[in-house]
Order: sequence, then C-alpha cells, then structure tokens
Amino acid sequence: MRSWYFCEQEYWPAWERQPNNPRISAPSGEVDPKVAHKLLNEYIEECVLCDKLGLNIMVNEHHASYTCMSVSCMVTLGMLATRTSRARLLALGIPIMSRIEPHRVAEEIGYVDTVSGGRVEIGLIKGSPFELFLSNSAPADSNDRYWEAHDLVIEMLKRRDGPFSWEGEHFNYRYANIIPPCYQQPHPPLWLTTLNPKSALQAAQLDYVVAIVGIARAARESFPVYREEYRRVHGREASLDRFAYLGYVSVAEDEDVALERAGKLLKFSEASERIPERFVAPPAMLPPEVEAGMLQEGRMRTHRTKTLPDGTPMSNPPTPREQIINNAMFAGNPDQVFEQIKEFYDSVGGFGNFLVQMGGTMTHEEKKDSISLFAKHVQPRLEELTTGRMA
Amino acid sequence: MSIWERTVPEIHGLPKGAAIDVSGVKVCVWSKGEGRTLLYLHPGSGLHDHGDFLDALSKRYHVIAPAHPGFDGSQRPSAITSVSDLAFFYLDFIEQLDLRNIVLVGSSFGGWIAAELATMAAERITGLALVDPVGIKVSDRMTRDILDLFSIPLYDHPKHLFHGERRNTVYVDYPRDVLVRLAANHDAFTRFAWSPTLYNPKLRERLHRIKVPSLLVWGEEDCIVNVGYGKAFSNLIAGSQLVTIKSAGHYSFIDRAPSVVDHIASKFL
Repeated sequence: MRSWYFCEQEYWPAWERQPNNPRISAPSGEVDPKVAHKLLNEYIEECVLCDKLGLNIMVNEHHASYTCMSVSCMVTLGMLATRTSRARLLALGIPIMSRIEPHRVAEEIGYVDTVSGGRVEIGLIKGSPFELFLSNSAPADSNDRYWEAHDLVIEMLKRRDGPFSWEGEHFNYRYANIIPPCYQQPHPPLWLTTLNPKSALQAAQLDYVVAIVGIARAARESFPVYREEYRRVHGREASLDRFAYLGYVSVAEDEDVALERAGKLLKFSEASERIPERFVAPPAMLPPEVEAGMLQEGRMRTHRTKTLPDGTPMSNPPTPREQIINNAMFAGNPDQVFEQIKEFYDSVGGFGNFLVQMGGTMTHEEKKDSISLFAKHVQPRLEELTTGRMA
Repeated sequence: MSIWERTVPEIHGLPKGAAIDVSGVKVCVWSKGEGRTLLYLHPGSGLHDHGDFLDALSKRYHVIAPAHPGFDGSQRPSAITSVSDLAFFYLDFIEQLDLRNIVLVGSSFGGWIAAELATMAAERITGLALVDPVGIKVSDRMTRDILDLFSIPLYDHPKHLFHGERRNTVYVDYPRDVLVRLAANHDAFTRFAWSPTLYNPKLRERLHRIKVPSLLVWGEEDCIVNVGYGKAFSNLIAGSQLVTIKSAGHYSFIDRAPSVVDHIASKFL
C-alpha cells in the first residue's frame, strides 16, 4: 500500500466569520495575507516531513475558496519538486473541465515532471461544477469539452514528434508542442476520481487508477465494476495499485486526543459543504429530469451522505465516531487506525493507494504528530497488507 | 412544410401546436388568429405562461409562435450554439413559411434574437417590438447591466422575473412533464447565453441596421434589465419609441399582458 498525505491548504480563520459563504463569492477581504503566508508555508513543511518519513504527497486545487488555497496543483507540486526527493507527487486533480487552456496544463505537467525527476502522477478530473461560475467555462457540453481537453493533454504529453496541430470542437492550436516533455515516458501515471460506476468503467478501460474520495458506498459500487471491466478489456486482473481511497485521518497516541483532532478535521467538511445554494448545481449539467425535481422541491440536491450505513440519520454536523462508522474517517491510536483501514480494505476487495487527508482546524503541530505516527506505526502494516499484490 | 411525427408538447393556454421541418430542423410551432403576421420569439423560459398574452395578440394578428431550437420540444442541431445561429435559423423559417409584412415581437431573450434578426432581414420584417429585451452591453466593463439569471436557481427565478403576486410562484404542484420541460428550456437558455452573460458584444454596433418602425416596451419594475438599459437600447435604434408599463417586471408581457398588447397594436396596425 502506498499512502499519500493530503491537506486542502485551508484558510480556516475565515470559516467562523463567513460561515455560509466559504466559496465562489467568499469575500476576499477576510483573508489576511500574513496569516495566509504562515499557513501555506506550514502546509509545505508538512509535505516535506512526509517526504522524509516515506509518505507520498497529493495536492489538489480549488478556486476562490476559504477551504482550499491551492489554486493550481502544478504550482504547489512545482515547489514540492525541489523541496522533496523521494515522494511521488500526485495532482488529484487538475480540473480540465474548467481550465480553459489544456495546452498550459500539459506544459506545466512536463515542467514539474522534469524538475522532479519523474515523480509526478496526474489526475485529469472534471472538477467541482460550481467552479464553472469562476472560470466561465460553459456548463453545456462540459462533458464533451472535458474529454477533448483530456485527449489533447494526453496527446501532448506522449507525443515526441511535436509540434502537431489540433483543430477540435472546443480547442484549436496551430502548434501543440511542449518543451520540456515529460521525464516519465510516455507520460506520468494517470488517475481518475469518480463517484459513480459509469466513470469507473472509463477509468478501467483507460487503465487509470480509480480514486474514490471519502464515500464508502461509491467504492463498494465502483471497485467491482472497475475490476470486471478491467478484466474484460485488458484480459488480466487489475492489481491493487489501480485502486485508491481517500479518508479523513487523525492519529494520536491516545484515542481521546485523536478524536479531538478528528473533530477539528471535520470542520473542513462542514465548511466545504456550506457552499451557497445558488452555486451547487449549474444549469445544463444534470439531466432535466433531475433538475425538474429540484425545481419542484425548491432546493438543490447534493450527493452528501446524511445517514449511517444502517439508515440511521447522522448528527448535524456528523461526529467523528459517525464518520468512522461510515468509513469516511479513520481516527484513533495507531492500532485503531490500522484496524479501521483494514476492515474497510477487506470490505471493498482491497486497494493499493490510501489518500490520507488531514487539516481542518488541526494545528501544524497536531498534523505533524499525526503524520509521524501514521508513517511510523500504520504505514508499515499497510505495506505488509498489500505485499505481492501491487503491480 | 412537412409534418413531423414527433409529439408537440401541449402547453397550457396555447392552441394545439404543429411540428414542421425548417431546413432540416424540426421545430414546434403554435399559431392562432387572423390578420397581419406577427412572429413571436419567446424568452429563455420558453412558451410557458404565455396563454393570456398570445391569446390577446391573436385577436388582432395572425400570431406564429415557434419554440426555438432546443426549447419546448424543438430539436437543436449541434451547429446551432449561439443567438446569431438562432437568428440565421429564423431567416430560413421566415423564407420557408413565406412570411411577409411581419411584425416581429420578442421578449427578454426572444427580444435579443429578434434584434439580431432585424439587423439581418430588412425586407420581410416591417415592424419590430422588443419587450424587455436583453442582448447588448451598455455600461463599462466593471458594471453588469443584466442580472445573471444563471447564478440564480431556477426555482427562484419568479422572484426576479415578475412583479406582484407571481413573484411567489412555487412549483410543488406542477405536473412532472411541465417541470421537465421548464428545466430543459433553462438548459437550452444556458447554452445560448451563459457567457458573455445574456448579450452579444457585437450586437450593439449592428443595431444601426434596423430601419423598420420599432417599439421597445419596458416594465417599470424590471430588475433583470432596468428602464435605463431600455433607454440606452432604444437610443441605438434610430426612430424607435420606448414605452414603459407600470407595475410590471421583466416579464411585463405576463404581468400586464393587455397593456403590452395595446402598445404593440397601436404602433403596428
């Protein structure tokens, strides 16, 4: 099992002051540049610590958000490429449904992969639909545009006979050409996040790592679909390294301390869900039948899990113990965290990548302690668990 | 004109519609009344709620109300993606139906299409009425002229489109097929007007081409595009007349249908 540390690089000091407006229209004046400077540098130091302790690193990006100050995966990874030496560096992901210049995306991947000596891994994802309100990319045809951008980026990464021309439905380039090309040939390993079996099918067909972000039900639905499709298309079993699951993680020597930290971590979840309702579902992306339901009800629907697996409604907001039951969170002393991960691992047929999200209002010291305990006492046992089953 | 076998939606308050094929595009059309031809272009929500307005118009005109490609059951070929494309489509529509001496009326988004069409086809259109149209940029780049309807959930649109009681419209008791059609219409509207939001940067410089008698009708309580925008719009169409309607919002043709029809009828006999 490979584990990947992940923190959203939150600007949490604004959460209480703007509890209902943390994204898109979040007032920029709430952010103190000096505080942001301190926080961002702490986040980078946490990643450097992970590198020293043998953990890999995952970054993401969001836009105009108090819940994530990373505005570009490749900018963050560009810094980490020179501050780390061993860790694999995963961008999960680059939201090319919103990013209007796939050419630039490909260039940045080539650059960072070269600087890092081939340690980059890439998820070309659709991204949060509500961020179309920022990029102004059209919601209509966004799926088609995503796939054209995807194909273009992959073509740019793998072709060594550039330049070539691209005259597509959505993008047009005279000279598609990146210098430097990727250090890893033909291109870095590729990932895809999914919440539904349909995109799990596509991930299997493309031989990408399929990543499920914190929703156990989605893993239970999508992993078997992926395995079956992988077998059908590639004629062999998908190895465990093709599967990834992201969970909230809090580790401490003492269970009560870990749960206290877990409560701070869940503040991230609470903040990120409080997106203003008007941005939740941009028009022209969902089927009209689904939109009709929202029109009738006079409210937006989200995919957020509100119940425990047995149907019991969760507290509002959910507690750490409830999120542990839901396999969205793994918290406790190192033994407990390992057992929680193993139980979930066994229930979904295994996975070879565990994405370890920490953050929320956890302090820098708390995160460093949690990372260290995870690396020293949990990670070796996870590696043992998957010995011989990774590609 | 060939009859298309696809089901034409039944829209409350409108007579039975027909499906026709215009240059390979199958569109639904509703028509009623006798007299001078009045071609009506609907707003972004489609032809829903148009019964009173079109009925009143049909007492004085031969009203032809098509659903734009992508709306209310009409097909949208993949090549029709912009309002200018819609205007080109209506050039075909007018020629194929051999419409002449047309009073062209458009409201809101339909007013935008009508304005674009009027800059293209001078011969067959002999009167133009734009009811609370969008479609042009007036103010500086830091000032939004037109309320961004796409940042507002569809269920909250009545609060912004209407004046008076209709502002409180809720959809809980609406039939399923109507709800799906309204949602699909909004998707089509989004496709055509997402960005730049509800205008074509080139239209303003083309409005000088409109030489036919023109009327702009504006709800005084319009909070999507205010009366000041209407004055600017009117100033760009030589010889046009702007009239305002009291106690009417952006959908003035629904809020005060008789007044809007009276103004159109007194301008275009």
